[in-house]
Amino acid sequence: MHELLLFASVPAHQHHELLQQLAGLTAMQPRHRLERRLIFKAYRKPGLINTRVGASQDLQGNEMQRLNKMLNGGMFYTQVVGPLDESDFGLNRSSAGDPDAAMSGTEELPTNGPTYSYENQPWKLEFRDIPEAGTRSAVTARLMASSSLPKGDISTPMTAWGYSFVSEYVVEGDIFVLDDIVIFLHRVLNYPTEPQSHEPRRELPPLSDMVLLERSGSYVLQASITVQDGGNQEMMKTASQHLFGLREQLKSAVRLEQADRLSLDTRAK
Amino acid sequence: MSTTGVFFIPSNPNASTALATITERLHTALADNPIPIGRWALEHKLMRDTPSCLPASASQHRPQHPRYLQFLSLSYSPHHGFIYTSQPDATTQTGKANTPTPTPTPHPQPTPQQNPHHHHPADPTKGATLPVMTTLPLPSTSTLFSHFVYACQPFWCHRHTVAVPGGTVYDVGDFRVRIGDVRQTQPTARVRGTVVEIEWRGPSIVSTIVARTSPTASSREGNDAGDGLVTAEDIQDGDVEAEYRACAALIREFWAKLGVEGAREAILVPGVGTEVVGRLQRWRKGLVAVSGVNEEDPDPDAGVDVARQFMEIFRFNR
Amino acid sequence: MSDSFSLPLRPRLDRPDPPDPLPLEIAQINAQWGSFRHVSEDFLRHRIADQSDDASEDHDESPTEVDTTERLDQLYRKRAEITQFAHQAHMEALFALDFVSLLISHHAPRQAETSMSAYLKQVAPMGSLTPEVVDPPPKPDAVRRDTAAVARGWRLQNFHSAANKLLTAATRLESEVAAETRYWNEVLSIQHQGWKVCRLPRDRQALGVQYGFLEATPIFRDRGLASLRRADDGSLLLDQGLVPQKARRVRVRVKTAGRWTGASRTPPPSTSDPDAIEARIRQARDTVYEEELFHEMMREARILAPHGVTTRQNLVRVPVSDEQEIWLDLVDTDGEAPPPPADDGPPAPADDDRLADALAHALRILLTHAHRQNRHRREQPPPPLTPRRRHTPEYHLLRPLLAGLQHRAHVRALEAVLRDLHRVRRAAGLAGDGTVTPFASVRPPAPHPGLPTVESLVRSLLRPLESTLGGPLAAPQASVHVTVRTAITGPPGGTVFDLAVHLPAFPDVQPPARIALRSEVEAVLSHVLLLDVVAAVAAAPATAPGRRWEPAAPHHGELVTAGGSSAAQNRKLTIHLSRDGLRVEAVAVGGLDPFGRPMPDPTATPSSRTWTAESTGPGLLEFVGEVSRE
Repeated sequence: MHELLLFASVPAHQHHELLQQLAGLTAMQPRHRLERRLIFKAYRKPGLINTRVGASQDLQGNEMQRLNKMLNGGMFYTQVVGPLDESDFGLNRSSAGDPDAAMSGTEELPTNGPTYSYENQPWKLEFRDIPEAGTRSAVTARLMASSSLPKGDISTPMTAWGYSFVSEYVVEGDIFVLDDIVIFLHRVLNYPTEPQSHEPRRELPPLSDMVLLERSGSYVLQASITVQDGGNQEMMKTASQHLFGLREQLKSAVRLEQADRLSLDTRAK
Repeated sequence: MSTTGVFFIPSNPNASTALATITERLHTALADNPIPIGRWALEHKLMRDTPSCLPASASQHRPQHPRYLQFLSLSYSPHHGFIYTSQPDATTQTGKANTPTPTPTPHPQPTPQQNPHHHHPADPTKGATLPVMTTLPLPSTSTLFSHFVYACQPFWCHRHTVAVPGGTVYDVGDFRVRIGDVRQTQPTARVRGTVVEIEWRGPSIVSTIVARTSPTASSREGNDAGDGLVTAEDIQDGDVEAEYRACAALIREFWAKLGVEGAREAILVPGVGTEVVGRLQRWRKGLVAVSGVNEEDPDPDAGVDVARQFMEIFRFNR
Repeated sequence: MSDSFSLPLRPRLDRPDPPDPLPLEIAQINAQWGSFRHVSEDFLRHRIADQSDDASEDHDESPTEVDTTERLDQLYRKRAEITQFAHQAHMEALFALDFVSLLISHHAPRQAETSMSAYLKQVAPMGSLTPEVVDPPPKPDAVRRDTAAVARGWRLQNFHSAANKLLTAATRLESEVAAETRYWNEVLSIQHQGWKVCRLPRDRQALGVQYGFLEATPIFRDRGLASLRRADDGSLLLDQGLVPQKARRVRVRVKTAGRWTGASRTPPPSTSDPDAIEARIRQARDTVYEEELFHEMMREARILAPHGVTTRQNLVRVPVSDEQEIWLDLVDTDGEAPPPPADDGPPAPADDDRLADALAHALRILLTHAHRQNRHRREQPPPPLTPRRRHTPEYHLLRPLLAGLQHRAHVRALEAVLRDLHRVRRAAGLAGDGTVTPFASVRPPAPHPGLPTVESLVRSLLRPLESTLGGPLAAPQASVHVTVRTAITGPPGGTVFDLAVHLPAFPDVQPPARIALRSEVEAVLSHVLLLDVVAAVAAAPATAPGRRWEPAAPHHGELVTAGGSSAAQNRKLTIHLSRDGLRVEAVAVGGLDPFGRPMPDPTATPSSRTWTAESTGPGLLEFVGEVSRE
């Protein structure tokens, strides 16, 4: 499956207006989205790359070459994405430390505390290759794979499959759908504190404590369209034309453009 | 989910398979007449970690135990496919996977009662922790497989794909038997042998537990059906274990009646029954109603035991 | 600009020219017409006739019928003329250019050379022509005066025409402003009424009003936009393009046994003035909705063809039962005859009229629901692009109606059977009752977060329909219940009956599960009720002589008295139960047949009783009591 994209940067003050414009354009209300995004990196055991090539001249030569090529093949970072709800985040400290609540004789049990259940968190694997180089059309095109994963503790299967957990962040934004195009106006939130252990969090801090990655509060507008068969040039062309159509329609509001290829590099070194 | 056993009779590439013999024995060697009730199919893909595929001479770093990643789809588990992954060796692992996790479900805690009972001849995972069983909707399993083929070449290498394109299902008394020829489709097309799955469909504690804890059942007008006589407290974990052994004996007896030689057996494979015990424990805690029933897959645990057995069988020495 | 500011546009004629002196005029006449000698009456008449001829010719030209070829000829001729003139003008301009070039070639040869034609360069050497300022000879005063007068005359004339033009322009602008004001006021009033006014996507200069449905099939969605044109007087015109402007609607009619028994009503127009622009927009909206409804019904009807639904060009026929049919067609609203004004108050609508109305409303609600579903689908992330086009599934419009009607028919028929049987039994003094809960599955929906009430309401109508019938019977603790289920979404014809029979006297009697035919259910019902009568007789307290009845062949309604000292003393009772009546025959038993069953004594006269629904008097148990005492 391939994904074609255009991006635009949206300053914070334009956000509200753009939301209205997009709602009018797509004839739908924005769908608010909160996502946990875990970054996993493919790991390789050290010392396996320098095998003695050419030493074996037996029948298995071809096979050896193929295996060697595979051993030195590319490895990637990949994301594991889980949808969240606002109620999944912890409560504000101000309300949690409400003196009245402590006075009223209730135990210290936070009965209305965070309801986030890590065991029931659904996940999806979202793999994105580095964007294709040298495409003449002015869109970012890249190979992608999206697959659902089991609920709950995701690091066990991911570790077994050869991935190690790197870090995580939260994405907040709104989604619009215009025919085949998904428009995602979003920004990245970081966790306020470093995790204690090197694995996905089991509890979430209050949403208001999350720290903006981009301090000015600006948003990214991402318009994407997926194509089942990336080899079908006709379809790829249709898809980019749809994106160009959107770019034209939004011309007076934002400038949608191709992203820098290397900034979307997902290869693991 | 019920108790099953899988037998495999390998054959030479150009010889005929044991399928005809088994079919004939089914009709002659048993008291009950087999009733053909339908067809079945499966597909299995085996991946192995790339370093271990190198010949021993080529690399001094060749790991001692190869690791496997297996994909299985069964026509009678239409909601999901199975993924079975060997855990990394504890020695090379930085300790992430082995951190004890409080979640009981997907992390297969080795059930202590079971390990002593299987003396399987070829257990490549011995010494490591139990493999991870994952079930996913079928489209997702195939997406994942192509993802591994594309993006994980340095550590996963596709070794072969085998399939049972058209098997036959028979009901024989309290047993259901699925037989079919196993054909390898990749890398080269050839016949690998015949596989027989024997399922015990008589009354059992396992089926009771499954029926009482399955999300579909609990959503259906309460649990006040006739089997409300049994409560979770009546069943001990050990009972489940004992039942698996008893059923294994029944299945072996059935197989022996057919009198087919040279078969490999997979019944009490490592990890079998993990989900049933997990369900029993949850049931005892009163957590029957699984929150948020997945509309894609009504029961993600269905068929994991028989999948484990097939995985064990299809881990051909490659 | 509140205070009007008027600017005199016409030149002021301060001093009108003194009329020309007579000799001058005479001289002019002489110059124009020749000598007075020639001016005779005949000559003048001739002239007048000539002029009127000219005028009439001018008039004649326009109405003459010119056929196409002639007109084409004319067109070509005129075009040739135009080209010819253009050529000529071009040539003259070139000549002028050459002349000027030659003229300046003496002073600026380089510059002149560039604009000279090649021919000129060939014939005339550069600088061969040069201008020189000459003093013109002084003009005589008379000529100068003449020139001044002519110039003045020209100027005045031009001022006049300019003033005229300005004044007409002003009037035109004034009326234009009035028309624009009216136009915009009407546009505003439309917008205030809640219609969506926007620029047309194709024609960015024009305004349009959107009255269509965003979620409709594209052809109907695109028809939901009409441009708001301005008539000359500024009133709004709704321009729907090529679409006929007739109001149309889907009509539902019920045909029973070959006769029209009901039709849906046309809703009265909502506004009194049918020509008001708002009414026209509303009508356009209704028409586009009705046409979409009919289009979608046709689409669905085609897949329902295996179930007897037939389509004509402008008609869908849905068979409901053997004798009832629903006809759906698209008719012009104004073509329909208004309901005849009744003299003695409006006639109460017949049942079938109400049915037709209900169906018509249901169809529209279901289409709106389908629109909402479309919106939900549109707002979901789309699947990846593939060369295959996605097929839009047919909406559920007819299928729910079909299922509902079928369900209703089944329930009513069963209810009738049950009621008749119970009436007969009650006439015979047997207890038992049958209650009907039609459409038990249709409940007001529980509020569901994230789902509007309307949708959950309609959704609850799209769930499988379920009705229950039944109730307690005469024998103690006996009861029978029938559950009728009809699936809506599946293929029609999917009604399933489930019976729950509780007869303590015959615990083994259980009807088959999931009966699919109503006739079978009716048979089972009357059989169960018969068994209940048998059980009730058997359970009745023993009468004085102490003989009790025992069921001998309960499935045939046969009982015998037991405990008699010999078989001959026994009595045999046979009960027949049908919708028409309950018949009981009592006869003395003459002996046992080879199978050990009591045989009626051929010599004894059987006594019998029959109860119908209207019967009064002693009941069955009294009769049985009498018989057993004999």
